[in-house]
Amino acid sequence: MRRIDPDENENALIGAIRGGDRRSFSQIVLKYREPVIRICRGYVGSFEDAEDLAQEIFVELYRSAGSFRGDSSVATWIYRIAINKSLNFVRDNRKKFSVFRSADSAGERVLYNSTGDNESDRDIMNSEHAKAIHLALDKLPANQKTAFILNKYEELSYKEISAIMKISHSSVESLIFRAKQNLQKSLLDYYQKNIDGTAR
Amino acid sequence: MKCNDTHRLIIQYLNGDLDRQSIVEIENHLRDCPECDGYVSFTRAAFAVVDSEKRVEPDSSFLDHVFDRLESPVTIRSYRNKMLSLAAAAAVIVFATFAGMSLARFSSSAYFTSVDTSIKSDILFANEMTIEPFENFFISGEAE
Repeated sequence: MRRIDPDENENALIGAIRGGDRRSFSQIVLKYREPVIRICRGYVGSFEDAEDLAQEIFVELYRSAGSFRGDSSVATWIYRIAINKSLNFVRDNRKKFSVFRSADSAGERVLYNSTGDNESDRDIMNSEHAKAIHLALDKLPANQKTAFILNKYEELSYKEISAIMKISHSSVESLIFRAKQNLQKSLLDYYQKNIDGTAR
Repeated sequence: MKCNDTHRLIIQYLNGDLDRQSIVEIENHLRDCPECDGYVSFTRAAFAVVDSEKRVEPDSSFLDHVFDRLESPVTIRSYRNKMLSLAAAAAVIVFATFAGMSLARFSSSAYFTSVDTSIKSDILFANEMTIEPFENFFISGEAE
């Protein structure tokens, strides 16, 4: 389980960024680029899109450093920016994502029954699994998706998630439980429509 | 245990959250039910994707790209968006080409089959003119 380390020094870094200090900004980017990319990846799926989006998030962070009041930790503030920006990105690109993810499913369906002995077969099967889980994640309501991503991609505790999402500990538990149930239903649906039918 | 019960408990089973008795019941069912066994394998692999996606290695020039964006604001235009734009442009070109070809073929065939029969007769007349010497017109006119 990863932990958000409260770092008083980070508040000073954000203060310096507010004044245009690029060295402080570099320190924040280098410390948080991996967590931010991980979160973005949970929302958008592809690594390229996640990295692209993460760069935009740090630009946003730089420009909005003045709005950081210090009510929460810097980490919590950065996670919130990452979540909002990712949700907006997915909303703005929803049509494109759904077209892209469903466009080639028929071709992969046939190939799924291959033996998996060679690398390309394994790649195709991995791609099928990745598509299935991301389609299932796409169908989750935003709050369930966010709680699940923070817990599974970023391995944050329920307490840390409740601080980021500004909800109670029990609400986080409930959201993650319902997210898993919904993912299970979507995966079963995907399996029955795309995999099981061709396996017979 | 039935298929529906197995489906309902699959996530807890994979997370190791079930009691011993439930685990034994699920595993007995999986031995007898290839469909559920396949579904369990599929779900396990799908959740393994999350574990694999957690391992990220940012581009070594990540920080440079962030500073580039600070200097010249770039809207998010990912690789996928670019590819979709290109695909859409290609589709429009192909559609326009085929539509143009079809339209040309339709209009030309309609022109010669049904629109204007007088043109056919003109063509016939012109052909007759080429077959019959021009002087014959005056000869026949004089005869009348």
